[in-house]
Amino acid sequence: MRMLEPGKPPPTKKARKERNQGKATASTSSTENMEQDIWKDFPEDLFEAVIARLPIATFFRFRSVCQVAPSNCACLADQIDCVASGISRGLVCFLDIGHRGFYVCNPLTRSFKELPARSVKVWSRVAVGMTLNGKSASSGYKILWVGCGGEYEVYDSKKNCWTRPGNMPSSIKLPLALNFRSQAVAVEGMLYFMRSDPDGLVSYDSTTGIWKQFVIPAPPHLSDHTIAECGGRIMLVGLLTKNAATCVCIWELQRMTLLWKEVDRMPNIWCLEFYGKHVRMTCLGNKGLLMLSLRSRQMNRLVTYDLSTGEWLKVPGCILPRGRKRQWIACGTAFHPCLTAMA
Amino acid sequence: MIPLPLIDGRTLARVITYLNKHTEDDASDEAKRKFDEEFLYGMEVGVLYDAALAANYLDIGGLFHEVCQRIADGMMNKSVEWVRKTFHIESEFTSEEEVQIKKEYAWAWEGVDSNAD
Repeated sequence: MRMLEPGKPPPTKKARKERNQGKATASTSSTENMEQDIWKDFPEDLFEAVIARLPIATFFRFRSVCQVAPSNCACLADQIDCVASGISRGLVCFLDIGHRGFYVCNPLTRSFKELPARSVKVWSRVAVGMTLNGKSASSGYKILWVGCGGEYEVYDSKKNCWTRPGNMPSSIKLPLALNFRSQAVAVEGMLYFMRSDPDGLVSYDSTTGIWKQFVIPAPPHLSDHTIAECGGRIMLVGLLTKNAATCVCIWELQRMTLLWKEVDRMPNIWCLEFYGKHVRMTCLGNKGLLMLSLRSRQMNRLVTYDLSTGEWLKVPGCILPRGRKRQWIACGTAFHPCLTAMA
Repeated sequence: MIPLPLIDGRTLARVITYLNKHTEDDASDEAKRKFDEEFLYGMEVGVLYDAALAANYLDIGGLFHEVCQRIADGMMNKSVEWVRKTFHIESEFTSEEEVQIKKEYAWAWEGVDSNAD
């Protein structure tokens, strides 16, 4: 982008006066206001701050205004064998199992960052959680990885470094049988991971560094389950299979009794489609809105569930551009689009 | 006395008016929002420009956000060509690349007259 060179001072008082003489008088129409020659001197970094506040559709139209420096994301994403492991206010954390690295990215703006390297022994057997330091993305974020042996590290984006704050307390039973199909849930700086043996949750407080264990009996006949969150409430989503009937159920954690209480089920008529079939479910997104991918041998259904309204919706199948077949969704994550979140 | 070489007196006076309101002990969030609306309403483009630079230089987050948002609001229905012309941006895209981008983000052009300014 060829604009004001760095170091060039803003217009002098004299230049501004000359400008003002030819300027339109105050107008109530903001669109008329923009028709001025002064914008050619507008500093590039301020221009970016303005662009970031445009409506999303306008932002994407303006991508054709000029080239920006090629981001690492576009080429790197083709090369990494990755798993989306954490989400936090517009940012997604990827774990590259093959090349052993962590990446944080804003999928909307494609700002991308590779985190400093770690020496983790078994990359495919770690759970990852992500939490914000404050209310907004600019207050920074923390990423935690934890392994089955109780080893863990925390990355702080403000300091751009990993630390090993301590050891897991003896109250947490080891080995830590983490549920790797379940995403971690973040609630106001607390990260929750699902575990078994014993069934329940482990939590990590990112401000105090304290780990806790909660023993919570799992509902019977449960499979393909994951935890989710909505307005501070911790939920459990999973398949309930009894005899030949399969249903998607939603439970809410009763914090006082540490029990899962069933609060909703997928409409019966949709469940009938899977009667007698072996079903697998993947849950994409675990905050507020869930997308469930339900697969049996001949079938692939996408359903969304709104945790706050209890609304179930069928979603059209995912077909790639120029493709004809519906895609089988192996894994994915949801994120809240945020133009100003920086990786 | 602290010299501020990059801001003229008139802009500084406006910034101080903004800060006085936003640091009032008994001003509610609603009152501040109403003040911002009136403060920025019908602001001349030269004033918006100077306010953006001043708020950035003085690191006044709230004012900077409001002014940038106001500028963005003035741009949102403009065309790609208008942005290039107004901000004197040279595009290094070939016409084929531009067509490709338009295809990739076709949804962003839905309902938009590409020739509209």
